This record gives sequence, structure tokens and C-alpha cells, in this order.
Amino acid sequence: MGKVQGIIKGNKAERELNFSGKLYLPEIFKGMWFTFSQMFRKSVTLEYPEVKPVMGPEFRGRPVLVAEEGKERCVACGLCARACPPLAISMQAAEITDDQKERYPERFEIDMLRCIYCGFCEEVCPEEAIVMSPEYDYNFQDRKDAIYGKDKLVVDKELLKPRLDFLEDRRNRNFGKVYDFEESNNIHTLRNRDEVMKHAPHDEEHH
Amino acid sequence: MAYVGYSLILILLVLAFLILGAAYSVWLERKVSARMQQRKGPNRVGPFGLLQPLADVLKLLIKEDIVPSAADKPTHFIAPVIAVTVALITLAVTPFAKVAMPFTEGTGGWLVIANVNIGILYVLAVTSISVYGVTLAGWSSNSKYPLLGGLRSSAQMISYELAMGLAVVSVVLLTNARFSGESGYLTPGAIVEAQRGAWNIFVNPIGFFVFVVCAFAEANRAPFDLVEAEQELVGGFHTEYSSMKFALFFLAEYIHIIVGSTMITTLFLGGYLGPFEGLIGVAAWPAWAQVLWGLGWFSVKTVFFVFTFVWVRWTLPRFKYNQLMDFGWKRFLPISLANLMIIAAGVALYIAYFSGQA
Repeated sequence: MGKVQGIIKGNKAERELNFSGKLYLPEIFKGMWFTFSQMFRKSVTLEYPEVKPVMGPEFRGRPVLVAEEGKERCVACGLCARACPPLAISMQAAEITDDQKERYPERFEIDMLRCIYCGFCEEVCPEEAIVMSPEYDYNFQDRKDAIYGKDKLVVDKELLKPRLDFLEDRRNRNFGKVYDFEESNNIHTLRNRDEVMKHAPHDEEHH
Repeated sequence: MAYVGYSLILILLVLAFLILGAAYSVWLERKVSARMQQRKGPNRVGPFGLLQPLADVLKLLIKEDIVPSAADKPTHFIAPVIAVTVALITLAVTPFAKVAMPFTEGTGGWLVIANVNIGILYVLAVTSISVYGVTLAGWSSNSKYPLLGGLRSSAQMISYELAMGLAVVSVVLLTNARFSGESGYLTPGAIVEAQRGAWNIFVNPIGFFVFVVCAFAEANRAPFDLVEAEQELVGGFHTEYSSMKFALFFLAEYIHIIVGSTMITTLFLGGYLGPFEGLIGVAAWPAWAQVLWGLGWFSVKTVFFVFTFVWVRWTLPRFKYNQLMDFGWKRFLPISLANLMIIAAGVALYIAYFSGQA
């Protein structure tokens, strides 16, 4: 008996079946037994509005300002606003005399309609003052309500501990491993960038 | 006249059960498919989502009914009507129980709407008409995908009807062997009675498989659902249907599943017969108990096959069109024919050697 072929003779796209495959039924019963056995497994559905999944420290939820003893850490340097790809962050710095840090944000606003949860603000922040919280379930009825001010953004340090610990553990973890971390290798600095690029060894040589 | 009255009541009951059954088959399908994928399925409307079918019907009823401007409007209107009507009337000859009660006097003792002596031919004829609903829907929409779906459906149904018909003939032959010398072998009731002692699934397993597969193909169910193949045809013949017209097609599909299950039950699984009826002595029971016993077994078997329809759909991927035609003409037709020949020879031998002496 010849091989089972499709419409076109010798068409390699047609899969050749073994004997039990040609009989169809054994294979079909195998499949049916499989689907039947699946019916008695536990459902993986989370019924969302009633059951909310708790996100781990690696989750990037809405960005918040870290507060220490009731005061935000932020020194209003403006790096996050600068790093923000969709320009969601805006702030107004002000001076403060009776504090070591001297500057604080008078206004700090994040447009939650613009935020893309990229986490660049958190990466770039020198004070670890803005971090991504595990919070993802919030909404607004109005575009004006979507602009979160300091009243909504400032969250106490203790509440953000998992994320802060995570950042401490992971931040810059790859630097020493992938690259020889020397200044001449740092192509990310803005100073003499072209000069550095010219002398920078290629990645391949270092792996 | 009393017989007509009983028939009318029975018709209403059967219609109600069919339509409700179709609605709850949808629920069953959604629930079973959900379980097979470790989901929960509908559970918002009513306990276990049991009111979901009602919500669905309500939604479909209040939706806007859109008819394509280029459609052939009368045909477009009549196609879903044909689909549902044909699906509904098939159950007219199926016996649900056998018992001597006043309302079964006119029907030869069977609890059946019409005891037609060519009942099985009637079923074959009516299922053949069902292709019209789908094909006309595809054609009248005046749109590409529905037309393709309609054409596929006509080719598919005609191909699988042959093997199905031959499987039915083998069953009729077996009935003939049981009641040799009497008439009325084409009555579904007689076919069920002939299975007392040994159901046809055990006597004629190849015929059973051929018939089951063809029933799947006739109902346009996976793995033979090329007619409505969402991935290729955007829904096939009912692409241009909306609102209650779409609901009618939906209803027809699920009624086809139920009717196919009742046909499998009647022809191969002994219909209303329970197992070991002779040992338990069912014949001596009061009439109402016999009716319940028969209806119960009939329902259990039917529901099992409705479940099987769903089960198969969520297990097997769709056939390609060349595979479908290959399967119908090059496998099923010869297998069915050979099976018929063997059964015919067996029946001839049986009648010659055993019945003559009895």
C-alpha cells in the first residue's frame, strides 16, 4: 500500500502517519482521555474583582514617592522628569532651610494617563525616592483626576519595603558581571561620549 | 381523536424540551469546555451560571437585526427558519418509551409523536433537507465567506450522508433478522424493540462508529465544522446574520446535536431500553414506572452523547478539506459498504438456519 498523500503527490507538507495514526481511532481515544482527565484538575481562574492577585516586588505598578518619617525623600532634582519617556512627571522645586536636604518638591505630579510603567524614573533616581509600587488597581472618571499630586503619590517607606529590598538586591547587579566596570567602559556617560565609544572594547571580547 | 390530542400535548412537550435542551446544551458546552481548559466557565448569572442561556437569548432578542443590502431578502429570511424547523421535526418519530397506557394506544404502544411505518426513511429525508438551511443562508447573504461556508456544507453533508445511510441500512437489516416475516422494520420503535437482549452497538460496532462520525459531520460539529470555521470563514454561513436570526442558527446547531444523540441512542444503544430489563422484570412494573424507566434511560444516553459531542469538539482539531473528503469517500463509504455486506450475509445465514426452525 502506498503512503498516505494529500492532494499533491509527493507533497512533503503532508505529514506521514504511523499505523495507529492511520487507524485514527486509537489516537482519538488517547486525546479524548487526555481532555477528560483535564476536567478534574483544579481551575486556575482568579475571579478578578473579588479575588485580587498580590503582586510580587518585581512588579512595576504605579510609581510613588517614598516617604521617611512623614517627609518625602525627593530632593526635586528633576532627573525622573527628564528620564520619563512620555513626559508624565512634572514638579516644582522649593527650598527648605531647617532640613539637611535643602530642597523638596513643592508640587510633584504624575499624569497617570501618560505613565507607561517603564520604571525609568525609579532607575534614574539618585535618592531612591520614587519607586514602582505593587498597586495596579485604580481608576479615574475624569482626565483631571488622572493627574496624581503629592497627596496621592507620597507613600510611607514601610509599605514599600519589598520593592526597596528588591531594588537593593537587584539594582546594578549585572554591572560587575557582564562588563569590566571601568570608567572607560562606561558608554552611558554624556561626557566625551564619542571619544569613549571610539576606544570602547566590543562586548564580544569580554564574554 | 383522543390520539390527536395526546399527540398535540406530546408535541408541545417535545418542542419545549428540545428548545430548553438546546439552550442548556450551550451552557453544558461552555461549562465542559471551561473545565477541560481549567477555567470556571459561566458562573455569574444564577447558580453555576444556570441562567446564562436566558441572558444570552435576551441579549440576542434585543439586538439589531441587520440584513445586508445586497442580500436576497426572502431567502435570507427563510434560511434560518428552515434550519430550525428541520432540526425540530426530526424528533417526531423517535420513541421515548414503550408502555400500554391510554395515550399510547394509537401509536402501537410507543410513547411517540407519530408512529410512522417508514420512520427511519423520514429521518434520513429530513436530515437531508437541513442542508438547505445552511446552503441557502450562505447563498442569500451575497457575501464571500457565507457562500464558501454554504458550499462546503452541501458538499460535506452529501458526502457523509452516504456512509450514514449505509450504516442505517445495516441496522434495518438487523431489525429484519429479529422480526423476520413481519412488517414495519423501518419504524424506529421496532428498531429499538429488536435490540432487546443485545444493543446494536455490540452487534454492529463498525456501523455504530460510522454512524456516530457521520452524525458529527451532519451536525457540522468539530472536527467537521469547516462550514463555520471561524479561523478561515469568519463564521461561515452565518457571518451575515445577526440578532434572532443568528440565534435561530445557533439553536438549530444545538438541536441537531440533541437530535443526533437521540438517533444514535435509538439506532445503536437500545433507545429507551435499560440494561438487564429481563432480569429486573420491568415488564411487570406499573405503567408509570415503566414510562419513567424508559424516559430515564433514553435521557441518560442522549445526555451522554450530547456530552460526547462537546467532548470531541474540545479535543480534536478541524480536518482539512481534502482530509474531510478523503475520509468521507475513500474510508467511510467502503468501510460502511463492507460492514453492510458482512451484516447482510450474517443476517441471511441467521434467518436460514435459526429462524426457520424456531
